[in-house]
Amino acid sequence: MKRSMAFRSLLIITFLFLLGPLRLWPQITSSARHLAMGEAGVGMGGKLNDLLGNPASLGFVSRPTILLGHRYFFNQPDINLQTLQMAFPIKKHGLAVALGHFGIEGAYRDLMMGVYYAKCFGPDLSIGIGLKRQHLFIPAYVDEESYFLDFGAQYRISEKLFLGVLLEQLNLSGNRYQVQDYLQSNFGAGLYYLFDKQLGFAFDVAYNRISGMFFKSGLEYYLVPDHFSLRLGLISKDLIPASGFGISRNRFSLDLGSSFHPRLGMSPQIDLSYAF
Amino acid sequence: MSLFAMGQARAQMEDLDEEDFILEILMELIPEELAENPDLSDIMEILQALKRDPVDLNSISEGELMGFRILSPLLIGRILEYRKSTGGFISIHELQVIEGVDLRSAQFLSQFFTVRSSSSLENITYKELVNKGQHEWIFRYSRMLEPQQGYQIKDSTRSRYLGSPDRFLLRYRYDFSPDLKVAVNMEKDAGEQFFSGVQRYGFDFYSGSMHLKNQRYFSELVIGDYTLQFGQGLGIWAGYATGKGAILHGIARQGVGIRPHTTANEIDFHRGMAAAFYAGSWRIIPFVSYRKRDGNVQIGENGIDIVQSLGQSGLHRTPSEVRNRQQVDQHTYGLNAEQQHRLGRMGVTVYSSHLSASLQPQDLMRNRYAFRGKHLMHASFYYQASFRNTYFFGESALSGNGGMAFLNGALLSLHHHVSLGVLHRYYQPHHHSLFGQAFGEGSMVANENGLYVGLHYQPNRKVSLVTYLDWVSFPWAKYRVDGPSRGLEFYSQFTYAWSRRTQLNIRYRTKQKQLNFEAGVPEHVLEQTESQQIRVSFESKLGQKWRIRNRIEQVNYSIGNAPKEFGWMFYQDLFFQPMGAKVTANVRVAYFHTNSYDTRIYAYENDVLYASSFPAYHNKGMRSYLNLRWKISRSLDVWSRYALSGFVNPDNIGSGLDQITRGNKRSELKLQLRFRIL
Repeated sequence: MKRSMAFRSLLIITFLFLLGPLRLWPQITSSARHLAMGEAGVGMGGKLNDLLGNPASLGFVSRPTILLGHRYFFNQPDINLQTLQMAFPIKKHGLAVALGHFGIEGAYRDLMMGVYYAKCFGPDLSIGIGLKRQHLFIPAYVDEESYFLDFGAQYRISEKLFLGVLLEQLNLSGNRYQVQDYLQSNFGAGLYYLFDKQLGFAFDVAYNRISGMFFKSGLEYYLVPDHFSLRLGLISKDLIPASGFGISRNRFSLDLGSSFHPRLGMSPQIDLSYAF
Repeated sequence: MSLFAMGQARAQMEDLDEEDFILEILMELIPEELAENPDLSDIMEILQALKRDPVDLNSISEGELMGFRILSPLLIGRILEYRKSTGGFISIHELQVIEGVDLRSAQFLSQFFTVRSSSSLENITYKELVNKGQHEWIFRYSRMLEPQQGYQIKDSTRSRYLGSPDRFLLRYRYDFSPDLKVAVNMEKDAGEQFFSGVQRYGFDFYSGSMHLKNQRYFSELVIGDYTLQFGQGLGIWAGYATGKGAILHGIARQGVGIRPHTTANEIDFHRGMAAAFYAGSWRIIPFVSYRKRDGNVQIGENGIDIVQSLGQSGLHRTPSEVRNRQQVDQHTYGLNAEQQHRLGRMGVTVYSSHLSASLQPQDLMRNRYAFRGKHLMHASFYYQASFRNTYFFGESALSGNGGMAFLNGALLSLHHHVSLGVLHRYYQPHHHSLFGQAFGEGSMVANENGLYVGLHYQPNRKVSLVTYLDWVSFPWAKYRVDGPSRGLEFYSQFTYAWSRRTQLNIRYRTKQKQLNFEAGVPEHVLEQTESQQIRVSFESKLGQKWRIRNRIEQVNYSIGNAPKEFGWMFYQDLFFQPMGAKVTANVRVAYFHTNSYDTRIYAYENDVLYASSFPAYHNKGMRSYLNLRWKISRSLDVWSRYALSGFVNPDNIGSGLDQITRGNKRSELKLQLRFRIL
């Protein structure tokens, strides 16, 4: 069993490398699930699509999982984001790799590669860390590589309540002021409350230098437990609503979410994942 | 989920005066913007009548249950489902078995419902009708005590009030069980003539209706004045209407079909006949109406009569208002067909309305898509359905010129502590509906698109949190907005009843919308406005006789880069309501200070029975009122009300003909007498 899982993982990694250099793009801060819940999710854990919401969530992932995502912004398919994430739980530890590409063809490109690690301390506490290399390219303006650190922790207070904290995009590359202007450091704290197995509520408080403090909240309701969920969310900054849904069958998951900026329009994202 | 959201916390209040309790829940259901003085008298009458003569739970229809307003659609569905699955109620106490009805709620409902057997008018004699029926007369007098400009002008070439400042209302009600009701209203408003001029027969407004139910050939019949409510109000809706507010299920309107018009509202009703027939699962309501409307009729091109607008106030005080009185004939006829289904119901409403003069609004940009002409046809389709823990509702409408309106929504019980409400509306600018009144920001069912999302969280009987967001856009210009615009509203109210006698409410609301702004250029510029409101209110029962209620509220308003304006208001209420006492009273003292009319603050005020008061507090000063009720005997009650507003250095009190000409006060006296034969 173990040998077949390892063989499958190796096969997928080899296949991806054979595809050639991937053009991937972040500012990846959300999965489609989180996006549909108003980008809240610092307190959510247990699935690979929680990884970029909080690296500590990796500690609660129970199966090797791969996730592909695609998003475009503000009704403009040219402004798009692609992500590839892979997670490997190893007993009380978790390892993940994420690749991302975000930008506008010929005008802005942010290429990210990240490695994440999380460890569970007992059944309730997970601490995670991520190291990312990001190459930001804006023609004739910025062409820089920087390294960033993400740090997060999640604590399960009870079967129903989870808390999380997140420090994201801490710049390790010294005086990279131009990069810092585009790739903000963020701080977040959040909770995830499960009313029952059908209804979950996430609430985050976020802060960064440019936007100041704002709030993110989301609801996830399983019409069919473990299989079909509807999501709603709200970001307090500009009062941007979001919504989406998720379908899980066997080990495949499809998540679709979108935010709806009142002036700039819709930014939908689709994620496909498979848990081995 | 318990009976009703905010009201459940209020249900903690022991022995709270029933009328106040019901009124305050009803006020929380209607949106604040829609009415400075919403007319709650029709719904209060229904509830009062029910208390005197409770309705049989085994024969009441879904529509009648919806008419109570304070029951959520999901709860109504559960009551009907229980009745169907058990074959009928044996005892009123079975209500407690129904999910969402706890002991206290069941006790409250048992005042309005009963469980019994057959129809009351079978083999009835005239003598029994007179002797066994219940008669009620109400006479109300009110008057503003300070002199007003309109009453002091003697020059017959100027606009002025032709009558006295006295206001009279005379009501007669006859009830014979739930199956026969007669209502007559006569009203004279302040400034209207009385037994002189055009009102030479006495009052300015007369209204009457006879309402029969549960007869062999029809289920319901109204002859006289009546109102209609179908679907979500896109086509026809008159009277009390719920909307955005502190009670989530208020977003789903509950049309009751026919209702006799029993209030002194001079505009929103039909006059003629309407009946309801049942055939299996179908209900058919044909209706016909002929009314005279107010309007300034002119001779247009080609010699046809034209009118710019139809009167909306019902006031006939000045020479021009008297000239315009009842100058336009309006014929309306139509049909509603509705089918009940296991999952819910759906219906179609079609009507045609003819005016004797062609309606030609002023040629302004905002009126580009307004209704013009003499004839309007309208059709709409509506539905309501319950499926598991979700209640769906909606309506689609089409006017004769091709304009469309759509409204769809859902109330979901996600968890027994959490409910979600979602509503989307799309009203085209050229949708015309002469009798519509639907969810939205505007008074017309036109020129508005919006999405509402609301959440209610109630973890226990003590705590309740209601939050909603409403995004709205207006595709075309409207009054004071010379272009397409958008807006946003966020509302959140937290209620905590930490004992059965004490309750705290904290409300925050912010609203953004666009308005014309004078920017020193020839065209109007649209500028963003933002208003924020914070309200903290508290009430507590002090012993068996006394109750207090107070509120502090702060509002700020800004438009563009103009300086922010502020307003605030504090009031303290004291109620004296001993159990079984012949005399009860309540008094308020309020202090308010607002920079401008944009920072005005609305506050509900207790009034005499069947009257409602929801004035705006603005300017700077104090306001107080005293209400007294003396229950002389089982048949005779007297109410009195004295309200006084004093202003600090006002520029003017009132405006135009209503302007107070002397002093800095405005006071009103109201007296009401009720005599009943029970």
